[in-house]
Amino acid sequence: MLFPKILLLIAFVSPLAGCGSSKGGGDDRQPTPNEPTQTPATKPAAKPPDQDDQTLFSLTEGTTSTNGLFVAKLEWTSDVVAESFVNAKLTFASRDRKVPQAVTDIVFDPQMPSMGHGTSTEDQKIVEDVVHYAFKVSDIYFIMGGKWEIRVTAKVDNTIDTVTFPVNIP
Amino acid sequence: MNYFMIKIVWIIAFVLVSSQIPQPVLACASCGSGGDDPLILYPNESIKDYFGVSQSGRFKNIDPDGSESTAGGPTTKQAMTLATGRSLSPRTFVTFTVPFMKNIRDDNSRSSIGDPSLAGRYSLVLQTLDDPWLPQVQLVYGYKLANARSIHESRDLKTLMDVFGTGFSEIKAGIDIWFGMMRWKPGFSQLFSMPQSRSFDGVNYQPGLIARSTLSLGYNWFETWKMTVGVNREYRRPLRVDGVTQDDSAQLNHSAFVTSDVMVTGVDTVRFSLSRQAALLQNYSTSRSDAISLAYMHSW
Repeated sequence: MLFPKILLLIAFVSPLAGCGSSKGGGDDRQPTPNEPTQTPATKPAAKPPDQDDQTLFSLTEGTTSTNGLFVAKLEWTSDVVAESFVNAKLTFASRDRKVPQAVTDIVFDPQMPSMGHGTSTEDQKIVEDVVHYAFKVSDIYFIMGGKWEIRVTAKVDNTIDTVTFPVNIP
Repeated sequence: MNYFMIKIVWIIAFVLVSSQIPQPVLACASCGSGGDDPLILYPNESIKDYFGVSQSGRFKNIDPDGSESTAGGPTTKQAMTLATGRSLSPRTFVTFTVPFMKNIRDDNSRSSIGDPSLAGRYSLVLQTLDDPWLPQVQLVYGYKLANARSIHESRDLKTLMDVFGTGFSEIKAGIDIWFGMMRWKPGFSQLFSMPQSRSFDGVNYQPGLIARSTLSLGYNWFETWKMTVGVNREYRRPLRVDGVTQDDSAQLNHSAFVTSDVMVTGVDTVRFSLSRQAALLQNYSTSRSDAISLAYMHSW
């Protein structure tokens, strides 16, 4: 009768001897399926990144719109000359320089304020470029050289604003 | 050949020759000017008619910082100008001018009537041979009607071939001083032109006041041959769009010209001119071009 009791006692004590950190305590025991897993004292696992956390522009990148509702960047992807078709890329970010939820209703309007006129936009095309916040603008036509302003109006995250980019055409 | 045939030959020659009346200053080379009013009556003339042809080219835009850039638009502009003048009194005359203009680019061309203008002068001081140092002093006034299509109404914004005028009617007034009784003939004039505001597509444009100063020096080589050289300084105040002054829209242009007048008969004069816009000194927000013109004038 005593021997089974001793066996039970050994069975009960043995799991208890395996508690504690395997690093510090030198314990190599594997936990049983129902036993809670105790991990080392580290930081909680990071939340997967989503759009709200993704910063698109650094503080020195992009141009803020007139009312501060979004930030945009204009990059020329061809030589910028007069009387020839020119291409560009437009990228938008929300007001806090993160990936915006939606960008629509883009108007790309080159103007020459000192002369009081614009240019022909009949050939101009604006298409999404891979991601929903970047766009290719193709077949921009500057009718003459001089000091121009590109006035871009867009609805970013349901708010409409305008951003201006200066450009000198030879 | 009798006198009548000589006149016909001259008229035909002028029609066949393609040359230019010196262009007024343009904001940009392809912006259009509408034409100018070149006819002046001397005190002894009652009626005078003018027929001129001109051609301008080598256009360049001058940027706000003074650098050159591509002009765009037509590469050559031609004009045929008809004008007639009437003396209302020994001190007053009026003229009416209508330009016919042609834009040329590569193999394409388009023509249009320019901006007609009505102008006049009143002599405050008349010259006399008794005192050659007494200058002729005239008040100058005029009105130019915006008739020709401007860049704000262009239906061809890629080539601007349909742009012939500024789009703005102008009222002008000024003074002209001229020493015409000596072999050397210096002159000075100061004109002010005020364009009238106008709206295009719901946007209101108010060009600035224009101040044009001219210094000239003529010389009578012979009784029938006079040459004049001169410089113009034209400054235009900034443009306002919907009440907002546009940056870098003030314009400055210093141009130069040389003119030769030959009296082929007592009542017929042939004039040949060369001019260059933005020829010297400081220029900004304007255009550079070269022009050549030939004109025939007949007084009755």
